[in-house]
Amino acid sequence: MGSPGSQEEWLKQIHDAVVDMDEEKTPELCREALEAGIDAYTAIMEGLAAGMDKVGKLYEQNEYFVPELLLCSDAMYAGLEVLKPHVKVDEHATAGKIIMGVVEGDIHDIGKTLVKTMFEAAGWEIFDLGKDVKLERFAEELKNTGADVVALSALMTTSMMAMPKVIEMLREVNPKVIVLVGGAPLNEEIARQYGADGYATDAIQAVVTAERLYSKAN
Amino acid sequence: MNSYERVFAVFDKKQPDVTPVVPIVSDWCSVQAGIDFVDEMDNVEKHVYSQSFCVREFGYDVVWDIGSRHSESEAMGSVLNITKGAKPYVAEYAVKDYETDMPGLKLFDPYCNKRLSTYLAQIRGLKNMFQGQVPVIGYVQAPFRHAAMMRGPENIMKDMYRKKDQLRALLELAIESLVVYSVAVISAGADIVFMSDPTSSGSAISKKQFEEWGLPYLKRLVALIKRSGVKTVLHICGDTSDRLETMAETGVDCLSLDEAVDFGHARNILGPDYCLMGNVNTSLMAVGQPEAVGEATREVIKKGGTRGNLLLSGGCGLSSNVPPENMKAMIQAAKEFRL
Repeated sequence: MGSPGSQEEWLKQIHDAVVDMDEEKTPELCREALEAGIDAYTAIMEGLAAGMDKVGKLYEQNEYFVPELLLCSDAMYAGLEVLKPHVKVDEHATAGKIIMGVVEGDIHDIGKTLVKTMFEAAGWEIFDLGKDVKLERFAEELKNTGADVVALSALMTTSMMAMPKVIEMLREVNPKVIVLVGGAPLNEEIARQYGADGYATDAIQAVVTAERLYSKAN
Repeated sequence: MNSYERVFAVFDKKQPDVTPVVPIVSDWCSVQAGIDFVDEMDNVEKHVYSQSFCVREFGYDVVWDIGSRHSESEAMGSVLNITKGAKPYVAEYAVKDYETDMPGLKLFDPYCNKRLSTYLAQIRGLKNMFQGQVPVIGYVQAPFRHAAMMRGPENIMKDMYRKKDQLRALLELAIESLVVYSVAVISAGADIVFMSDPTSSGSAISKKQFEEWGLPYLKRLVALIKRSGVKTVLHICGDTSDRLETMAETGVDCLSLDEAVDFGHARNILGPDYCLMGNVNTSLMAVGQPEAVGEATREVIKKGGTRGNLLLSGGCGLSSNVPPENMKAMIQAAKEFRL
């Protein structure tokens, strides 16, 4: 593999490696980019995250499905592992803190995994509560972390129907917290009824919606 | 017509008197009957009671075995998390590493395995009670699903790229074990074998991936099951609009479709005579008003069932919190719809 010359070329190669699901080449390129003097944060945002952005578009276009998303995520995380320790302390993402979890009773978490990857790529700080999360845990975690956004996921209607209670508890801790909901049984209407601030149909839209609401509030 | 005659009229392409109602129900029945679903997994009488109570009380047209509980995968080494009041799920997969775990996988004996033999006895109990009156459905996982429940759905998706040979070997083992279980289910008296494959949904994998990893194994399994004379149904959750022909290629007698698939589109692809099952919106069933459920039911029949080739159902399994009034509304609407 020839050494790219300009920063642009380095970033493009990293971007392409993520899109190509290359779990070996991505971290390798990240290491070499660092050696070539490329800034770590730039490599993350304009290499890795840009790559995941393209992956997201391919998913929306039904060219990539969950297997490709998972493998691209692996490539991205491998690169992130190399770059994160080198990010200069004074550089911080203008992204916020987000708590995410699959509501109690529900163990379907592939969707949440994909959402997490996208937020990770976009530079958010993530508090992942996992699946089958007890209702009180969300508010507890909000108290502990002061997160800006809480994202609730449910694939089953029974879990979905517990969301209003969770949202009530969250608003008691911080009335201004941004609540996002997602999952197959939900829609815009139900989300509104439940008192959520936003609803997204897929992982990419989740990030877009969160960033829109977050920048509005800040 | 009784329920059995009505359902089989649809399968045999004769005219049913009204659209049969075939809801996919397991723990919903438990709630109506006042039983904990988890107890039904260990007890023949409780499950038979739960299903028979509901079919008599509500008047729809089928009874089910325990349904989709990853039973075959559990019997081959996956571990279920079972908590009262919650739906059991796979907590630990039988194949964490192909090299170390595949060689030790044992084929179950459905008659000696505690779980499977209980489920077979439930089928037998329901058949004794309802033979010729109400059809008995026996559930079998699709091979890709069974493999996913032995290996983990995320792992299996990556295996499609990274460990193709190992995945093929696992799928061979999956289909062979499903043949063994299917024979037992049929022998216990199931009139219909219902297979589901949520992992092959359009929300999960591409049509091409389904053609490579789902279709060939399903085709083999269905071909064998059909030779026994029972009817077969395939259900794949989510939006499967792009792969309906492929699903039909499996050879099943009926495709059960999610609310995400427009029945008009399905009829265009599959033709007016193809047997469909579905597809009333399951969220609506859970949170909607009975009038809306009735309206939605009529819409579904209008789109996909005016010629008597429809088994009316929800778009997927009905959740345990569907109000009984909504079930009644669906059944009433189907009964009143003149074919």
